Amino acid sequence: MSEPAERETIVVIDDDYAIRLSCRKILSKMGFRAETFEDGAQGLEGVARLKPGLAVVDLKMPGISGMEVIARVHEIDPEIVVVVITGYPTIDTAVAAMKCGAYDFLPKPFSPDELRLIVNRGLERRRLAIESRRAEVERALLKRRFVTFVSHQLQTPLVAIHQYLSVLKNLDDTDDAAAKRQQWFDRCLARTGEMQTIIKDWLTLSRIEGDRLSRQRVKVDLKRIVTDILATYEEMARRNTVSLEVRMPEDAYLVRGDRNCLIVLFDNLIVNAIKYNKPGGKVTVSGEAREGEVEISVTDTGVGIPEKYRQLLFDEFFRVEDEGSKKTAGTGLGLAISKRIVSEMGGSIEVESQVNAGSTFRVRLLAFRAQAGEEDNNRSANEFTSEEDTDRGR
Amino acid sequence: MKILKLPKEKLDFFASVVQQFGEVHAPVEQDGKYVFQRLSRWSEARLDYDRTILPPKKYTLPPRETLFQYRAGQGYLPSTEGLDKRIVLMGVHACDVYGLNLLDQVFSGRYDDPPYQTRRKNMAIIGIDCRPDGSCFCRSMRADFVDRGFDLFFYDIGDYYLTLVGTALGDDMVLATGPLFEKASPEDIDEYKRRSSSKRQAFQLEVEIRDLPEIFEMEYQSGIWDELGEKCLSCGSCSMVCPTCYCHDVADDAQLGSRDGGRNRSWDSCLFAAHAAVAGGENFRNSRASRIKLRYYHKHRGFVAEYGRPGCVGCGRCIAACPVEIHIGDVIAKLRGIQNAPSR
Amino acid sequence: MSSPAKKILIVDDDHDFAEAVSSYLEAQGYVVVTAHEGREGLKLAKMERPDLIIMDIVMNERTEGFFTVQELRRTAELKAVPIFVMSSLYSKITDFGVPPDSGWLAHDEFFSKPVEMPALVEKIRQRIGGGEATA
Repeated sequence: MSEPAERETIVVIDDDYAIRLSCRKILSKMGFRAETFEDGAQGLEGVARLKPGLAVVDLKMPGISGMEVIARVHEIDPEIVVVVITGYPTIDTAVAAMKCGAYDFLPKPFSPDELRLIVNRGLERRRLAIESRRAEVERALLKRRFVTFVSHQLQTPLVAIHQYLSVLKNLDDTDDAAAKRQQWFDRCLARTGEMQTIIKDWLTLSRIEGDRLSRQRVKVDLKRIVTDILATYEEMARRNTVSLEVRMPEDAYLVRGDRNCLIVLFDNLIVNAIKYNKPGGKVTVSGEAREGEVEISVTDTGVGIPEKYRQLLFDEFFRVEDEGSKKTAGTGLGLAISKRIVSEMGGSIEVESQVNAGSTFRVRLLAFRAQAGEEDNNRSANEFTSEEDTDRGR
Repeated sequence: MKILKLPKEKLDFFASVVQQFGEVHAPVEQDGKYVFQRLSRWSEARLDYDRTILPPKKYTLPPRETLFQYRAGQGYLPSTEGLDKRIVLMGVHACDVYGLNLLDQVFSGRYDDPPYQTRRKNMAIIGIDCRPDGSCFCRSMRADFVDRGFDLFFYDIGDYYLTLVGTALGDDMVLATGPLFEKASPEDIDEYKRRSSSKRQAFQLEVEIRDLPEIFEMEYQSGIWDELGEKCLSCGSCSMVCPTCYCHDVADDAQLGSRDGGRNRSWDSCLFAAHAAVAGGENFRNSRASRIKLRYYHKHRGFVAEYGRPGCVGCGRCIAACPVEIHIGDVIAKLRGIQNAPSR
Repeated sequence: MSSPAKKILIVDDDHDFAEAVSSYLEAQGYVVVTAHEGREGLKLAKMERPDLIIMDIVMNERTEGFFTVQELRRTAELKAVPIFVMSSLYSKITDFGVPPDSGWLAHDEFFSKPVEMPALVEKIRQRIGGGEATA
């Protein structure tokens, strides 16, 4: 948006003209919008109207006392940061003011620097409080989405299985039913497989988010990982009449990371490339090792991704629902998980695509660099189990 | 006017309830462009569109329609086909609502046009606000806000649509949807004001219309019309896509035997070669230059004389549709004597 | 002289669920046609003129069922066909935030999935008859 950033408003309530003037000067110079009031009543009106982030209040004023002003200010807005200034600074007044809800205490006379310091600190704290509450709200929302979405995803296959079983129970024994029974058993098994995949994917995602799996930071060879993954998908690729190709001319493509996470990362990309491909199409995994960086690209000759979806592609529940693409089974989580993994490793993942021509997913990761005390041999973490990895250079 | 707000995430529910009031039509994507079309499911709707190819006038003034059937010696029977179909058109921009309001004046002036009126009455309009792009100049044409001609109007204020209820039908729609709508708070109205003011800054194409009719009058002999005549293909696309162009041809279609027949009305354009041809063979606007000059004159001068304001609403469709890129902003800028169009 | 078998249209995006339910209904003597999305369902309804329609609510998108039911109610020749609505996501329409008796969903019966087949058949029989079980 082309709007100029809004200036934060600060209200100063003090019956001393000199204080009001100097505060206004200091605060305006800091870039704030400063409004001053000479007594509590006007000040409270001003707070209600201007909705400031911070209020500077003098304790001893004619009319409503400073203490009462503080209490009333927080009635209007509990978030306002209140800084108390007074010419009679005693421990008692200080404590009383804090108890009333003041953030800090500034004895008169005070220097411009002292005021600046307290104002900045106070507003910073307010910003953090507001942000953390927003994050909490977001987290609660996500959790709700999670619960609704997952329960729906899991309910659908469960309902189908239940329905098959309940109908089988009620259907009379005929030859027709016998043939159907076999077919339906297969369908039930397929649906339970679907549920297992969903649960596995969600667990993976929550592990990555929750950092519960203590992640290794060891040397991993991506070439090895990629070739292993492609081997496991040979059968599926053949069934889909998709050919697989590897173009990684270097001996090894070394990065530092968690082997399991990297497997998940590339598994998602490769299985997508096979699933969303055209019959007779091709999946190419190519690698480039550059100065300090390793780039692995997974290219398919599939249906492609329309421009408008590319922003949303890595979102958690997003699945492209176009007329053209087959309705392929999936949780919509694969790419979200991949992106999460890449971000954790400080890398980047991008997609280039042309509708009906294909897509290329490019993953860039930092190349492995031996740390002090680590052996820099070419043996990577691939041949070892995770316990042994823990012993090696962490 | 009642002011409420609708959570954006409930829009699909709103659309499915509002179906009670008619077929739901909305902008839908088609080959990278947008068209108003009947929805078969809500997710087809693209409310964040820039402009549709054809404006809402295609519903009230269809490209082709039969006015009546006749039988020689017996009289005629007005055609009622499709006239009772109720439609809810969702996602109409302010400029298009404005265009409909202008067409309403044309078709309900001295001579009421029953087919137009009926279709207009049976079409509910749910408007939505928008952000201008490089071809939008509705603000210059004073058509960026409407105060009537819609049943509901949605203004985007973040997670909600601030909703203005325009008619009793709009109110019925709100009542039918029960608890979906909430009361709008002063904060919501503030947010609307903020966005409205930022939208004002976002216009890139500006056209000064204040003394434009006078300048048109003065520049009658300008060479610009010949220049344009050379470029123009007389394809009539600009008329087809214009929300306020209403020229139509009326022709009788006789059956074999010449006893029965129908009278049909179909879209025409002043740019078509035969538009000003009369019986006897005379064609008053033979040259393309004279035809394109007429279109501009009617839109920005003739319409003003008759209806008090130009017929153009600044939707930018003619700019998008013209195959030889004749740009109304350029034309007006040239008339005003400035070398380049005043777009930023 | 037996009357012609009653026809039921099932609209559900889950092929397995539709298969299970339609097999049972067919075994009860009904003729069943199936569609897997709202649009298809509307088309089949117009072509096949079923005696009863069983409709899933949340199909490809959460309001697809609503949309389709409304369309059916607005189609003159289909207005009177009884519609049984099913949903697995919520057990009550009110969980959607839809006020009860609001007429939002002009349906005749509501079932939550998975469905007890005997109960479903009983309700169908009450509504349109038919369903003589084949040997």
